[in-house]
Amino acid sequence: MRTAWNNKHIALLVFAACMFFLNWPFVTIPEDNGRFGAVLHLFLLWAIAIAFLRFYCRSKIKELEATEEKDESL
Amino acid sequence: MSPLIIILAIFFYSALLFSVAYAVEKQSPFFLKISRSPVVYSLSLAVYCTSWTYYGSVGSAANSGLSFLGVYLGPTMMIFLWWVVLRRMVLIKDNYRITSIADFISARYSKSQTLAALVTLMALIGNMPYIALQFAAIKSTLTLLIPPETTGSFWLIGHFGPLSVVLMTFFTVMFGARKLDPTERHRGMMTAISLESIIKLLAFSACGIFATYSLIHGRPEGFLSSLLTNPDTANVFRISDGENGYATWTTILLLSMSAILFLPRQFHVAVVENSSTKNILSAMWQFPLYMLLINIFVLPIALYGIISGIPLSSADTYVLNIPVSHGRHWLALFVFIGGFSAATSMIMIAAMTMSTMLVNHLLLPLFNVFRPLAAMRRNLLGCRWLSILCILSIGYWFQTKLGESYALVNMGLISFAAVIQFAPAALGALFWSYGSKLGAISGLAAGFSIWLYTLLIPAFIKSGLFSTALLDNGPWGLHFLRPEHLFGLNALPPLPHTVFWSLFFNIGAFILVSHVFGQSEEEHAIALDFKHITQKKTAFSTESQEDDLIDIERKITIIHSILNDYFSPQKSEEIVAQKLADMSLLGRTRIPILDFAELLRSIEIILAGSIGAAMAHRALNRVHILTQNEKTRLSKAYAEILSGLNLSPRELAEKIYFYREREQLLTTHGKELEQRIRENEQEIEARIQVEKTLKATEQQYHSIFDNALEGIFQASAEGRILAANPAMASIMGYPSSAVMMREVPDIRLHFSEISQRDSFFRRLTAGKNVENFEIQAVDAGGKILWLNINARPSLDSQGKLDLIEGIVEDITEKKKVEVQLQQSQKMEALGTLTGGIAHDFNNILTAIIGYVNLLQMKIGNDAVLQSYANEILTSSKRAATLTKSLLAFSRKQEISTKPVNINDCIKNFEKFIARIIGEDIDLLITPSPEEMIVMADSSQLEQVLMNLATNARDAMKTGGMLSITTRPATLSPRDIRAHSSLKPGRHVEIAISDTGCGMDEATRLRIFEPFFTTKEVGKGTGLGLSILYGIVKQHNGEISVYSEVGKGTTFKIYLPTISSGIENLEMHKDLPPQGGSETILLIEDDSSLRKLERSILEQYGYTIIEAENGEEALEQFYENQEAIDCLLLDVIMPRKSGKEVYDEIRKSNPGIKTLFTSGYTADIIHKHGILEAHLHFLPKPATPSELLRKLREVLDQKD
Repeated sequence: MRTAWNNKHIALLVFAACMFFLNWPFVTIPEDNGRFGAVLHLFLLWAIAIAFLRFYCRSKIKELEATEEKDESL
Repeated sequence: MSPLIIILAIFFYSALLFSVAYAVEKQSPFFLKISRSPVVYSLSLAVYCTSWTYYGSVGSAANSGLSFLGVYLGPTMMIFLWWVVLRRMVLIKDNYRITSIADFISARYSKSQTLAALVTLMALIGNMPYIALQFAAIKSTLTLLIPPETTGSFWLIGHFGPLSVVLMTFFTVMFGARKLDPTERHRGMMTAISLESIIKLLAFSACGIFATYSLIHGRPEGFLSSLLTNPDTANVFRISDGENGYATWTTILLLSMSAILFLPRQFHVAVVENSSTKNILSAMWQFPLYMLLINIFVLPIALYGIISGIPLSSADTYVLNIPVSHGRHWLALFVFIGGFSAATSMIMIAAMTMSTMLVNHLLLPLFNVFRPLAAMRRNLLGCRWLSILCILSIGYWFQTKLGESYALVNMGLISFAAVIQFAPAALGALFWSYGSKLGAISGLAAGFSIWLYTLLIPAFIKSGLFSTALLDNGPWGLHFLRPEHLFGLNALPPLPHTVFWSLFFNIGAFILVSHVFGQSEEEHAIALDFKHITQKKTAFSTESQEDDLIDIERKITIIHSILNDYFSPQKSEEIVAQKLADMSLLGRTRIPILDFAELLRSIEIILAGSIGAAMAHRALNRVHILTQNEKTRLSKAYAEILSGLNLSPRELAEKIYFYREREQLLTTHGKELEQRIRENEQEIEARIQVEKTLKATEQQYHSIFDNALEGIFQASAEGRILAANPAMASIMGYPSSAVMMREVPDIRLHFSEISQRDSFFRRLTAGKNVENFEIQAVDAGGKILWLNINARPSLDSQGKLDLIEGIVEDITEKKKVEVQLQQSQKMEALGTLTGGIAHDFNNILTAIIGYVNLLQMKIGNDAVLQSYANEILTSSKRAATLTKSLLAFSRKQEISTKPVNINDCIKNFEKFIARIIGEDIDLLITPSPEEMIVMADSSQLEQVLMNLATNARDAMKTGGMLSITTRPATLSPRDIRAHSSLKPGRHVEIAISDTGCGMDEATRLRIFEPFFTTKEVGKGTGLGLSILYGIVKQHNGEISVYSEVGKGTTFKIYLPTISSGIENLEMHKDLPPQGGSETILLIEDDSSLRKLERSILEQYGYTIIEAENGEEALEQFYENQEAIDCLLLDVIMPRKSGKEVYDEIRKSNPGIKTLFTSGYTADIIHKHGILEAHLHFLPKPATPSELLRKLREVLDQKD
């Protein structure tokens, strides 16, 4: 799991996913469904993206710290 | 609310910010710790959220729905790529000491000043109105906060702008531009900005909570759903507004993705102010979270504003209007402060970054170009402060001019559209190593121009600043160039339309120009460095940690004082300044500790040059330049380097020694290589010179070789021609040297005489030169040539013949002339010989004939004796005729020349010729139309014609044609080389041609020899052509013969012409001999002839006194001078000639009558002057009657 988070391709993948889900024509789906679909769609995806970023960055920081510790121990 | 409260609130708030910034700058531990927190970095990024976010989002939500979210979702999506993109930018910033977005772009593209200036200009034009927008927001919200009827409100509102300018200028200068070094971080400023971000979030959230509570509190069930159906509020929940709403949505996403990095203020806080790449990882989730939080309440505020009845036109100020309208003044004040924070943070950071760009990339180049402004370079810090003031002032002025116009309201996205033009060049700098400076300039210029034309100018037009004609009809009425429908694109609204075309031309020009024009080596090196920046590992960390920086001001002073002991103060300053400049540390007060250690080391080396290494080391260590803490930090830094190298100290030392030695070897090797290169260059230079000389020599040789008139050749020992010049080929009858070399396998084949060939090669094989060797050769056409060869052998190492080199001269013509000359000389010799014989013989015959005549007189009528005498006479006459012929051949017979018309002479003789040749042979006479007169004896000429006709008849036994042609011919000196009898000038050519059997060459060469004949014995005397030859020669002419066996013969006779007329020919008439009684002195050395003549003359009554020789003749004359009437003397006598005797006697008797006799006609004519008018001559042999007749003629001549 940690390896998966660390992988830079994951970030690219999520970026691509955001470009798809937050852009035309996909955004027309929740919008056309009426009610608060568009609002919920946008804010929800935004929150999910932020959450992903949180975990991604945290694992990256841990990876960097681990590398520094390894260098220091050597 | 009272204006005073507002002023106080602003004052205290500003004081708070100022205090925080100051505390951080002064390195208060608590604030320093806070300033180093990654949260400060994340919150400083929130400068992205300006008053446009604070107020404009709500207005946008109320009017256009959810489209405002694109401004924040875009950056969130972009942040996914920050670990790749932003990290590279930070690393590049550390390596290249980047200070701004303009610096970043120009650093990649050969540090182009033009590019930096262009980016600066675009940033200024794009962001100045954005600053104006912040001032507009502050002013409008202040107006809202302070009722107009409040005392002092007018003054405050009127002066708040200028006061804000002063306040923000002061703050920016204090915390953003206190020092010149723009790479220095501004922790105080960033901390204050972070505080402002917190304030604006809290303030907005406070309003949001209030609005949300007010929105939903006490509302009936289904209220929220009713919002969806309410036409006023339904739009708020939609992304797309209108037909092209999604195009705008996508465009906003794209614009904000680029704005979060490439807006000058964003670049500054994200890249320049970044102290550690690790902070990026914190900001990557904290900043999107901040944006989410600050936007959560935008919709509720917008909805509440709408349902509260506040007009949509004032939706931008719903945030403030809501608490104000509800009488929540403190909330309103808090909200105002939040808005004030949003505006001022943007203004200060923007002013700071743009002043850096303005000074570095526009003003400094200007100062360098214009000499009068050069002095400003020493006051760059003042220029920065002044530029900050100007930028803020112009921004404020902009706001006062545009007010609430369309341009200002939409300036946010218009600025974003300007900034996205940096994206291709900036992202290309990071990821595309083939982008070039020219490509970047082209792309930026193209994109910016399109942006200006399609978005900014239309915005000004819509604000009423310019006429709408351009928008409606395009420039000069060109519809397809309308700014908002460029090239006929009508499907997109203005913003997406601009972004589409500007990026199209920007990216297109960037890629195309980069590919077409390529990049320099320097550019490519930088490009690769940029692209692989993350792989770059140095012994020193590229992330300069804040802990590693030390204050060097005091230390520099200490170094100066140490150096002053050994150098002058000026020199010491120069040394330190030079080293700082070399390390790009000039102007900095805090530098990394490792850099300082390197600085110390380099100064020690300079000092060692003056006082020695040991002394220099002692001098610099005598004073504690570094504190103990700094020494510890330095040791730690070295330890980190060591651990990074993964080497033990011993291994490090060994490696250092190894690399030092290697460096020495490489240096030595390098010097040797340099030397070798120099030598090689010299050698190459010499070779080039030699080649030039060789080429010149070769050209010279070729000129001589190709243009020589003589043939030059080189052949192998086997005779194969290796080289031959054009003259050689021409001599041998070949069209070119190449053909000759190709077609002649062996030059021996051209020798026509084997003996000559063998002699030639024998000599060469013996190693001897061959000089003036004449050979008979055969040319390519089989023609016989005469060649003169000079050749030399080239022997190989074993002494054998290897090559033959020679020069050949064609002497064929010369040989012909020689043969002709030899022939002439032979004929001349023959003539002399036969003449001599004929003369003597003539004398004998004269005696015989004379005595026979006398005998006939004495015999009387005895028939038998008479017949005997006749026989003797007949034979004698025949002999006389023979000697006459010989004399004619030797040109010693008498001729009588007169002007003769050749054509008439031939014409007159035509019938005779026709009788000679007979009927079987055709006669064709072709005289020249021109009259040609020669001095000739016509009877002699007739003899010539008769002789030739006879020969032609004999050659054409079966018939044929004889043609006689005359024509004028002018002979040149060259033509008469072999013929001494000819003189250059006009001649007549008489050609007598037959179609007979012809003759071979051997016969042709001998035909004029006397007694030579090809006829059977008894058929010819062999004297005919000899006589003919003599006659022609006597006429000063020349005869030549051309003949081919089986084809015929042509005789050509050349006689010199004259221009005089013809005289009548006089014929000799026969008269009976008469005697006399005069006394004749007879001088004749031939005794028999003398006796005969005496007898004849005495018989006819003359008295004769005889003398045997010239001396006796003179004795006799002087004794008998009075009696002697006439002299009869032989011309040729021993001791004294007849002419000499005559001259002697003439002295005493000038009028003495004289008759000369001789057998030598040539003597009389050329040597004895016998053809003088008064001198008489009788040729021998002469009959008695001829003697008597002539003597009588002389005696009868009147004196």
